[in-house]
Amino acid sequence: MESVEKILENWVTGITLGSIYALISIGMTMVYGLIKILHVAHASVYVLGAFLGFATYSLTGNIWLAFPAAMAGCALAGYLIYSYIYQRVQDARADITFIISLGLFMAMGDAFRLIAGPYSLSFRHTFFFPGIQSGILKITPEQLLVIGSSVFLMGAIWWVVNKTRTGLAWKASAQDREVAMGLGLKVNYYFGLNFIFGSALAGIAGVLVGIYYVQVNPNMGFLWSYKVFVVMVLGGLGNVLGTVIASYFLGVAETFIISYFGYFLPRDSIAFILMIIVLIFMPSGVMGRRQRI
Amino acid sequence: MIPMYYMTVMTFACINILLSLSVGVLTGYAGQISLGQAAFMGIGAYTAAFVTTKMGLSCWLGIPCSVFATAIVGFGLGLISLRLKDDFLAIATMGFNFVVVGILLYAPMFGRALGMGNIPMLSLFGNPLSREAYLGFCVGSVVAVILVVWWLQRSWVGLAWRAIREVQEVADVMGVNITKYKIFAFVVSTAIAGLSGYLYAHFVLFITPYDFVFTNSTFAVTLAVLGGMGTIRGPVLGAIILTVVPEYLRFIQDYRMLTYGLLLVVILLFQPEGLIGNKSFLWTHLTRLRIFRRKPVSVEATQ
Repeated sequence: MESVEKILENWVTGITLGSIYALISIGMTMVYGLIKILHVAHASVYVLGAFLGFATYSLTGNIWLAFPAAMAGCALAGYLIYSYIYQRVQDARADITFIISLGLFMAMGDAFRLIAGPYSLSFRHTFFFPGIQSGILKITPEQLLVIGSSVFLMGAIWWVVNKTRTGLAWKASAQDREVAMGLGLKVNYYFGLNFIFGSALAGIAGVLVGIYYVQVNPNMGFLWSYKVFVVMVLGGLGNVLGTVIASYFLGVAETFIISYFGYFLPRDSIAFILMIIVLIFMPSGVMGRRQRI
Repeated sequence: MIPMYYMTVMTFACINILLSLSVGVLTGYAGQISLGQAAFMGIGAYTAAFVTTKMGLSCWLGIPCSVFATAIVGFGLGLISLRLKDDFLAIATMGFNFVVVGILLYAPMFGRALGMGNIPMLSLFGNPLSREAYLGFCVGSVVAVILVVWWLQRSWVGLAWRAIREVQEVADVMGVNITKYKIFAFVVSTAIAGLSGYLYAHFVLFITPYDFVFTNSTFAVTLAVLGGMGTIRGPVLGAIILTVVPEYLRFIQDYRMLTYGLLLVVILLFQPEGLIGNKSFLWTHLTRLRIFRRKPVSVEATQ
């Protein structure tokens, strides 16, 4: 059954791709839901995570140490970005903050290139657990790792948002910042916490992408950063559940389209045309009707 | 006789001034953000190349063709801007830039990734224009565009643009025709970008889609932001600085994106009005100097 095998393989690849999209875009969506800033520099944080993970792995030789190192570094970076830049311009016009974020993204991307060199660094690794290979279904250990950890992390995020006081504070300040402040909520503290969470997720995503594609390079954030917009717009800006669904949809759809039709347009153009159409006709996304976090 | 090198730099400065002015009109005056100006420059450049190399028409016909083609696309983007605002408009125009580059990379008639070459130099009565004459032509175009923009911004159009920039809803209530003026801002801005693309194509004589990628759109925004939005002098100065300074500080070339990115962040954080915008530090202090101070105009004299 050649075709069934191919379909299954596409599904696995698509879901893996979707998991990575989801991990990166959740952080950006949460930021948008809270302070209405399109945080492009999030993609740089993700590249930072990949490099930190790579550096840790090359120094210690233990792949599991790469994850906490990347999380810690990215969380710090995210917090600094919030407290030194975004906190100052929270009340500025939305396009101004977007351009600031874009400038930060450009600068950070170039800084990575200057520090690490413009070449791809090979991320060789070995795993102690096997993949799944039963008859027609084949999942490599890397794919298993990406899918498994992203499902786990999304569960964790769901738990934080819905079951803890922190999540409640996020929801409250997303709904109305002034009222939340008036009720004695330390809004800036919770916003900082949100950046820490989202950036740590991006760090993990960076390491996972490095492992999955067996390389890290300073340009790896470039296309993803814009791809994430497509995901966010499809899912409805600020809507976490919608973003997750849109990530998997885009991952699977892209894989299938390319597998069966080839590149009839550069694949990013397809995604962006889709994004513009959705922006014009369904401004709140395919999924959502109202903003929520 | 000016050395060739300086003339090249000056010509590029002219091209960048036009690009920067196109951002200045759209974002500075009308308050509509576009991160796709490089795509419009690309459309202008490719139209110029197409008209001369594929259709064999006179290169002077390229001017109306380039301007008209970009203005039509700009009209379409203006329609989109009626439904989108601020950051949404920004990402839509950003996506537009990716789509345009994607199409240029894909379409065989535009030479795909190899781009279009053999673009003829501008010629008058069969004699190709010398570099000096071409520089003169560029400076002339810049002056003409500045005059047009200056005239527009002090007319009713400029007032309407500023009203839309401040609070669109209020402008709407006060009877400003939002649809008309927004679309007009896009048409004017993209036409200027198209003209700069035309000048670029006939100067470098060889264009590829990579000359018009999204990074260059952010560069265009950096030019205008650096100088100061909402003025004409701002974008002009920004373009001159960012064309000339990297030539003298060659090591900056290696850190281009780092510099531009940091410039954007720092200026928007600490001097949102740019270097010589209306309320910027430099401009307020310059205008306070005695030589620039105008004599106070009495009320009777103005009536």
